[in-house]
Amino acid sequence: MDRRTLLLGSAGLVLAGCSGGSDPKGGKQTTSGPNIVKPETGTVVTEADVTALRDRLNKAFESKDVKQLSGVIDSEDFALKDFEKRWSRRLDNFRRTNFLEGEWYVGLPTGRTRNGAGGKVEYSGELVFAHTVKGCDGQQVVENMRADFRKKSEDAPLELMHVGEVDGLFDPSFWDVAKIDAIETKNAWITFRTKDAKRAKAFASRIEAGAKRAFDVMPRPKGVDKLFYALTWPGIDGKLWGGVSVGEADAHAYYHPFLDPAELSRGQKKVSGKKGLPLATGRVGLHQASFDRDDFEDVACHEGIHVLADQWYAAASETPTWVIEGLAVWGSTRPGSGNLLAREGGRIRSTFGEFQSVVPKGYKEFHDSPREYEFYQCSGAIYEYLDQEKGRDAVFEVAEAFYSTQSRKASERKLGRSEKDLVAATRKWLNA
Amino acid sequence: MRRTAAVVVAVLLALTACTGGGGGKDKDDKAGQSLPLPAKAPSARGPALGPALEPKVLLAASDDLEELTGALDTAQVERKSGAFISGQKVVGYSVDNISGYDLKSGKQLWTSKLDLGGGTICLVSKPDRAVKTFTVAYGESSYCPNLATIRVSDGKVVKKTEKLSDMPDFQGERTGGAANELFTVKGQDFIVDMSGVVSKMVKGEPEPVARLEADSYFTLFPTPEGNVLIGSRSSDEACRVDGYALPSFKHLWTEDTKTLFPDVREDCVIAAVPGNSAWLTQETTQKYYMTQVEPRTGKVLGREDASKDSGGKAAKGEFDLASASNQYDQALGLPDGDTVFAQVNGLTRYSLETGKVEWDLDLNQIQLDSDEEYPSTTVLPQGVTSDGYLVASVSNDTSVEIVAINVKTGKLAARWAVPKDYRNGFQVEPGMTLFDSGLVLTRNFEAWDFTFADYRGVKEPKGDLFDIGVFTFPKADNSAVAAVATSGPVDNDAKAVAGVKTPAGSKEDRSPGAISTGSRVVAYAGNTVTGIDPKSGDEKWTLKVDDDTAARVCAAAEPDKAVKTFTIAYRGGGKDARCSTLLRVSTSDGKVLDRIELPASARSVSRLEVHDRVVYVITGDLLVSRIDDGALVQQAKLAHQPYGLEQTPEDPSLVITTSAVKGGRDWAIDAYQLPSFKRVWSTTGRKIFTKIDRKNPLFAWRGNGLLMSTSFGDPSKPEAKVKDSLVLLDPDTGRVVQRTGSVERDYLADDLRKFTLVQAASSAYETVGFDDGDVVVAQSSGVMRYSLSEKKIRWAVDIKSIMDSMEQDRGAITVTQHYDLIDGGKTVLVTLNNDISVEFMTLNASSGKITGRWNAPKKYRNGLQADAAVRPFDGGVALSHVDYSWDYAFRQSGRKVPPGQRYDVGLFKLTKPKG
Repeated sequence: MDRRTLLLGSAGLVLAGCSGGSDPKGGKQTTSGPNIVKPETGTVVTEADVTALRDRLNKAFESKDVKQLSGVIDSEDFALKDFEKRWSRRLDNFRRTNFLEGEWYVGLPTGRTRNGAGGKVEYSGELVFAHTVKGCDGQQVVENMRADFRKKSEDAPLELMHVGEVDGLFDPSFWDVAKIDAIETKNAWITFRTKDAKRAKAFASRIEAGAKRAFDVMPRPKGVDKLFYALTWPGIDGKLWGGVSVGEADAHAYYHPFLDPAELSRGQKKVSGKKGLPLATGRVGLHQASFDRDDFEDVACHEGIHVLADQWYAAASETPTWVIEGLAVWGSTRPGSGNLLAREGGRIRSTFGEFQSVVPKGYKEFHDSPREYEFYQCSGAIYEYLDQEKGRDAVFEVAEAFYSTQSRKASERKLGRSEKDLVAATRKWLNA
Repeated sequence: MRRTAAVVVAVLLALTACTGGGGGKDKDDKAGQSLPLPAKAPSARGPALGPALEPKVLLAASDDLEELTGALDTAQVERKSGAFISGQKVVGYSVDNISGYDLKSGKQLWTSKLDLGGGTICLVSKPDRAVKTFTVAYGESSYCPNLATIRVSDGKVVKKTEKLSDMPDFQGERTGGAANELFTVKGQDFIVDMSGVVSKMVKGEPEPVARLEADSYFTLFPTPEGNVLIGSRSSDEACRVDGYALPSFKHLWTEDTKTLFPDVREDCVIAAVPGNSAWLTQETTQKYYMTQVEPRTGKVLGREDASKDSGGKAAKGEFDLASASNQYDQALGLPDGDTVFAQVNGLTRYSLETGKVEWDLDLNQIQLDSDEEYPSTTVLPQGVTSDGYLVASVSNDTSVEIVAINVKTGKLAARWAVPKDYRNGFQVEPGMTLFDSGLVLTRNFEAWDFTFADYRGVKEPKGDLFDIGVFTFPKADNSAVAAVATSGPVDNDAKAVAGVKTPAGSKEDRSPGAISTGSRVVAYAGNTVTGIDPKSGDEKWTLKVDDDTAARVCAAAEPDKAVKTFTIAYRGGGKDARCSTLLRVSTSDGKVLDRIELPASARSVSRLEVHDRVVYVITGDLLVSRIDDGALVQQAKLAHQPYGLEQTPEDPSLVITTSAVKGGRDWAIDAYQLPSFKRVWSTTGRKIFTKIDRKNPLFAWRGNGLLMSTSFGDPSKPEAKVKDSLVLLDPDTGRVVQRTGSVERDYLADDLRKFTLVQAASSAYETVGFDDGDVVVAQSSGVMRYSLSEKKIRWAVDIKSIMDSMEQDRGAITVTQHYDLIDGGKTVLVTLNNDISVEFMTLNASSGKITGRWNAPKKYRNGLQADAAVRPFDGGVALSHVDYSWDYAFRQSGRKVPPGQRYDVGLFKLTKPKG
């Protein structure tokens, strides 16, 4: 096979850190009490003020009317035009596609929220917009932005004076970069620039087929029955949602950790680890180049598997590259069919020795090697070995152990088997 | 057995904003000040006694209001508080509240309507006299471009200005946009801005009058006299220090690190001591340096340095420059140039010019109640009253008290607790402003936020919280304290009635001891025995046991009833001499009635036991003999060489011995019936404990020989799991009637509601027991009467405060408790010693109530302060020097033996306090 399939598993989203941050016995007391003076309350921002502002934002969002939304913000905000520009496009896209539900969270202040003299109070804080794409997300996907708040007097409502740029880790979303539309299939939301509608329709059935295969192979995260695909173009290939375009990938699965929106509004990037719910999700970017590939459906499936595997993805996990790519390679070769070894057995066996030395190393050693393609296949072979020899559950047990723990050592402890041993057993099985 | 009582009152260093200053106070303003000091100076040990400060008016904290949304720490709000006195008013400020209060009535007179726009107060005038208006600089996050002038009489904002933000030119250069400093000199306010321009506040507007030599200063403070301003420049390679005249701000001098600190070769950072800016400090990786300059010329007056690791090691009376430098920001300067430093043990007044410590006051035994397991106490010198008393706060994050010290002599003159209900907010290094009849405490937000930061795990004290508190000094309560103090030190000496002096220069072990025969206390040391009338203290007779001065009494037994004769054993002075000569002596005149030499086969006297006035001699050949007609009459033979031999109050005719057998792998336990010494039962360590650990002995308890304890595991290894076990044996059969089972050691356990075995077992040799089987044992912070058979605590008395209040030195302190039963078993006599001092205490044996307390007088305790042997007599107690513990306390520790007469034996009368 001459063409090399370069399918990257994870975008460049990095978590900034999860942590949140007897009276002296002889002392005789005076009999008459002192004068206790209480400070005047003055203007104070209360939880009720915050809730009221949040309600206004949410109501305005529900209306999908940008004027209503921007009307919540002070008309003198210098960035109001930028806000309106972003949100008119978004709301227009959301209205058209109807795939997204969202709500606002008003964060904690950095700055004083009281003026004892009763005058105005102004402070900064976080504003969070959290959304779910219908059927795709087990929890809310977030983005945060800095904002300025004001309460003019004791009885005045809390106002939004200024809304800043969205944090670069979450920006830009697909719905920020173009007028988009969407096709809903049984297993996918296929989104695309309206001008790419023709292509989207042409490829929809293959994307749907790839998504279905991904779901058929992978354990289904709670509350998820669709995968999100975006048809991108060279200008944004690999660059959505904080991604940095890497190499010559033909598609990209953007990692979206489920950060707790309430925590994020307090400035804390903390994964929401609610029991039974997925820890993260992903969005697939199908680059323009992928549409020329003979194995397009495999590509859609491969990326879909990455997204579904994110359900186990603990923040800051050192998941080895072979774990991520091997699962997607194996999963997109119709497991059980023997396709992987039938097609790639020769390459796998001839490279496995070298691959074995690359396994414990990092991202760079894996991806920058001239044998990168073979490494993908060797990685897939490990799962093929597990599937054939230990059964399907063993495949996901291994994947989950490495995805969900912070270090390789911890993964091995969880698994009760060393990574080295697993690779060596695969080699023996392969007769490589 | 030693029991450790932790006595740790560390004086911590921490940043603080202390107000006051002692210097520059207007004498006219303070003319009426005279502290209501108690007639008798208080002790610097124990809790504060007497009346507490009287609260007049307090401003409640606004924390709850500030945190209705979000949290103060994440919101990064800079909060400040403070106060100044103007005539009969106090102006107090906190966060954004500025209010005036009447000092006499405690009424709030006004709250300023100054709108800070959600910002907070940065700087406020600090006048030392009555003023009509004052200045407030305010802004956000320490950027303070706004100024307001407020009237003292009614709080009206008479002027607001943002002129600093306009940054007009002065002397051809721009002025800076916000206020960095605010100085009040003789009632006039001056602002120093970010460009180093000094502006005088004229009719509420800043008018530039001078430009300092540098834009910004690392430290910039006036001297205690208030007539010179000294600043050390920031970002200056030569670390120049500038002096300016006040109030003209005229440049007087500039010096640099080469002149001020010629020995410092490393990169320099000079800081002035905030409380006395003529004292400059600097540190390198190895050392601290201090230099004192003449304020008006910058000429070096004195200079000193100290190794960084020398902190906290200074002897009393020596200046600890390392800890003073470490805590330079807490020091208080005096107008004559001296500085009072908070040091590891208390406060020290020192002059770098003369190199002399004026005084050195230890305050590390002041006891404050605390919610923390390991509280640290901070002493802050805050100001000096016009009548010459240094006022300092002593706080530990839970409680706070105020002390007054004669600033000339360093003598403690008064202590006032801040009442529990009104101290919240002021117990973390508070700010203080003095006025004629009291003081204003202000909350130190910076220290507060640091202390109670989430990550430190220390919780804020519960109850109402205050930012400002105006307190007046209470009238002294000079009425005598009637009851026996149950905490703190005792101010009552036992009467020293007699003593056996240690010969000058004696370094040998004189093996002293004492027994009471009823009519006499027989004291012995060296080769001499002395008969003392315990009532008068008169020496009735002396007896030289042998002409050889090296001869020593080697065995003596306390008679169980009043006797006319007593028996002792001695060994001669020769190198191989054995304890082999017995003397029967007449108590009335000290005449030797019988002198008996042991046969060689008996080897030596192992022990003398008395039962019903009869003395039994146990010798090295295991034989038990009586003295009859001037000769030893053999009566019985013990089964094993006794390691321990104890009696039991449960059956006074029983003697129980313990002996290691099988190389320590087991213990033989034998019970003998007196007077026959017939063995009535035997058992073994393995039988009563199931197993024996060869590394740990088996103890029969002194208070009740039927109580036996042992341990399992290696106690010498800190990480090793060690377990203790205690059993009670049946006096008739030797069978176990009750046991604790193996209990894992918890050295830190400190709860008198529970019986902690490790501490009780450690005191096995000090215990006393009762005929019901109960035993009095030591616990970490008290004394307990415990019944193992019922597993019940009869009573427990907390004496932690008492132990911590005993006179001590700066060395490591261990308090040892020893118990005796007196008054026919109705009273427990507790003897406490810590190698420095000795205290006696009586407890009601049935209730545990403290019924009497006495110090062994300082003059007569020398030689007896290190775990001396205790022998009660009717109306008093005899202490005998123990060379083994003396060696440990003095020779091995390097501690200096106090000067003055040493005693081998001392007799002390314990007279019940009147009332």
